[in-house]
Amino acid sequence: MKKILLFGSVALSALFSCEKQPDTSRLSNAFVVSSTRSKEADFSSYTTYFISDTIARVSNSASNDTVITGPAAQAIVGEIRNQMNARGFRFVPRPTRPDLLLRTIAIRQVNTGVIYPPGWWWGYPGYPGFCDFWGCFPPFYPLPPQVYKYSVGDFITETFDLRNAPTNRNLQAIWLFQLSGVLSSTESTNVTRTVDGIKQAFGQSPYVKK
Amino acid sequence: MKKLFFIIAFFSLTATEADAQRLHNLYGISWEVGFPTGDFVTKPSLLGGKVEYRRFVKENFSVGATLGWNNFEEYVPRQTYENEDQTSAITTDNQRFVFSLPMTVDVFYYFGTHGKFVPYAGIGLGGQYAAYKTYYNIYVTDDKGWGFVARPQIGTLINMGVTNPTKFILAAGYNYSTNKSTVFRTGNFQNFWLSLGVCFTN
Repeated sequence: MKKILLFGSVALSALFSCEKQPDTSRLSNAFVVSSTRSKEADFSSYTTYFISDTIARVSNSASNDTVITGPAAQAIVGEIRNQMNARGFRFVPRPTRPDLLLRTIAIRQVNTGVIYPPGWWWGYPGYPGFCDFWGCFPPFYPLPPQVYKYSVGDFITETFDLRNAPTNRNLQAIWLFQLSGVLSSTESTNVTRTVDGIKQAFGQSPYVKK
Repeated sequence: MKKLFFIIAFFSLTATEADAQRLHNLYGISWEVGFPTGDFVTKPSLLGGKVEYRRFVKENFSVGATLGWNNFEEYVPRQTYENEDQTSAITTDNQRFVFSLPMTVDVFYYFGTHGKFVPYAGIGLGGQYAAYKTYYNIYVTDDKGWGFVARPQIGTLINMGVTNPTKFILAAGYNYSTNKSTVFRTGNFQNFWLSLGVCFTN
């Protein structure tokens, strides 16, 4: 009986360590594109829309910028306008009371950390030096700790029903799409991925049409 | 891996008394290849195995226990998934992964007790832990839980000499478990399997 218990406990602990680390090397860096819509919304009942030519920006990195402007915003907002126009909607200035309002937000989350090579005691102090007849010396390791940093981004576009807001007594979001994923350090790459993601968001939302 | 070597070494030392007339105990370790039959993962897995113990209560009948594991993995190219009422959709490629740990109590009947081959048939019943995971971009979604498992199987012990306590085990079977995932919309997890291993008897 003791043999069985020993066998079982050793085997069980060994088995739970048999879970493989998945191979994620084939995963693409293209943004994950998710979208959701209101079940009640009838997109064919809307005709006009408005979208700002700037993108709201939220980030935990040190920057005072709260909007994205310039070529990046032009490319991204321009793609949304192209897609909306292709679906039969018409862009109008905001003062003319459009049926739909599209609002864009870009979120950048910067994550940092440190990898300590062997010998660095994972950053904790107190590693002893070594003394011998030639004196006492602190330890020295040729590999310094490596600081890593990566950014994760989300680009969100919300579509609100402006036309029925007075009747509904609220600004009802009827369609939302979100692009999510790790960001490149190159802005043009991120813009390209965002534009591709916008195309995909419209592609997977065929109900968005006049 | 060191743990597996330890297990082999331990039972090699304890399974030294050969009895040509009748087996009393069997300690086995096997490599197991899985062939999933569901649609969450479809690719065969080479990363499975099991350890088992059998107690021969009669010359041709044993009861015992098996602890197994398997790692199923498959890359799925970029495609769009919709929820049931088609109000939400997500597009991504993903790496799907299922880690299963069946733990069963087994009964086996042996068709003969002597000769080069000792064929047997039996079933293992018990519980199975399963972790469903899907990795996409830098994200992961997972769903873990326990279910009931049944493992009907056939196989044969392969003797390497009348007095040699070490034998090979060749087996094939089916693994039906009720591990469901509401996240991934799977009601159970099933797979065929083949195994080849070595056992130590006394």
